[in-house]
Amino acid sequence: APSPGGCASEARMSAPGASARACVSESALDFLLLEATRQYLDKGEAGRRALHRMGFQVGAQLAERHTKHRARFADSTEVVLFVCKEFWPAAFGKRVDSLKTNNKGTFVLTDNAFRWTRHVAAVGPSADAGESARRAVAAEHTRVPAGMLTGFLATLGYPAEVVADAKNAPAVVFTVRLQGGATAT
Amino acid sequence: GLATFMIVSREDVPLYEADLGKGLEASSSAVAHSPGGGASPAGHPGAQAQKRDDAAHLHQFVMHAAQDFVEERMWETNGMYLKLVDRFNDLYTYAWVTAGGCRFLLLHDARNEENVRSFFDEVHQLYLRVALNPFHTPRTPIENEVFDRRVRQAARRYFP
Repeated sequence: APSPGGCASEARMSAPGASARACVSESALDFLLLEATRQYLDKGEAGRRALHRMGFQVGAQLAERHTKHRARFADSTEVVLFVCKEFWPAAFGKRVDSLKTNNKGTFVLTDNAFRWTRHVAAVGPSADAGESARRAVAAEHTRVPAGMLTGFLATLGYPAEVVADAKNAPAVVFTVRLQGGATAT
Repeated sequence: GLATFMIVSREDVPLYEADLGKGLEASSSAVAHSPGGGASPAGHPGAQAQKRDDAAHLHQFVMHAAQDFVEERMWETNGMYLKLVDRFNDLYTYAWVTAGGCRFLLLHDARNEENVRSFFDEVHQLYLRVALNPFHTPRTPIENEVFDRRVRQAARRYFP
C-alpha cells in the first residue's frame, strides 16, 4: 500500500541497515509511462511489441528481487497468489481485488482501480466518442503492465500469455493463460 | 581453503566463474590475490602453473558434472539452499538456487554447511544488484568488476 509520503513504488533495494526505503515519485512514473507509451505507439506494431518487451524485462527483474527471501513456488496457484498479494502492491500500489481460475491453467486477475491508468483522459466530439477514446488509450497503457506480469511469471518458471482488458477502466482485468503445463525446475 | 564458485542461469548459461581458493602451494598466496585470480598466471614456474591449470580444469569438470545432482535436489525441495549435492574425492559441491532458477555452485575442500550458506546468501544479494541492472540480460555473463571483487572478499571471509 502507498506509504504516507505518497510514493507507491520502490526504486531500488534498501541498503542493509537503512530504515527508510528509497521511493519513486508516483507522478514522475505516471508521466514517464504516459510519454513512453505515446512515443512507442507512434511506431505501430513494432512499438507495441517493444512496450511489452520493456515490461517483460522489468517484470523479470522484479521477480528476482521480490523473491529473494523465499523458497521456490510449489505450483501455479502459489505463484499467482503471490502476484496478487505481494507483486501487485509492490509494482502497482495495491493488491489485486479479485482472482478467478478455471483450475486448468487460466487465471483472471481483476484490479478495480488500476493505478497506472487512473489519469488517462481523452476527448472526442461527443461524450461517447470521448469515452471510447479514453478506453482505447487506457488499453494501450496496459501493455507495459501486461508485459511485466508476463516477465514476472516466466522468470519464476511459469511462462504464460497475458491479456489485459481495459473496457471497464478504471477497472482492468488481466487474463493469464499458463503455457502447456510447464512446471518450475 | 580451496574453493571454486560458479553461477549458472536458469537457461543453463554460465554467467560467472571464479577460482576463489588460495591455490595449491603455500607460495601461491600472492597468486591468489592477483587480479582475476586465474588458473595460469604469467611469469610463474611452468610446472606450478601447469598444476594449477589442471586443478582448475578438474574443478570446472566436477562442478559441471554436479549440475545433474543440483537439478535432482531441486525436485526434492523448494528451498533455496540445496546444501551438499555431490562429492568427488575430497571435493564437495554445494548449491543454491534462486526463485528465478539461477544456480550458484561452490566447490570446496571442507565440510562447513553453515559457512557456505552464509556465503551463498551474501552472493545472492550481490547477484541481485547485477540482475537489477537495466542493461543486464539473462544471458549476459557477469563481468562487473565490483561484483567480482565483492564475491572474492566474501570468499576470503568465509573460507580463510
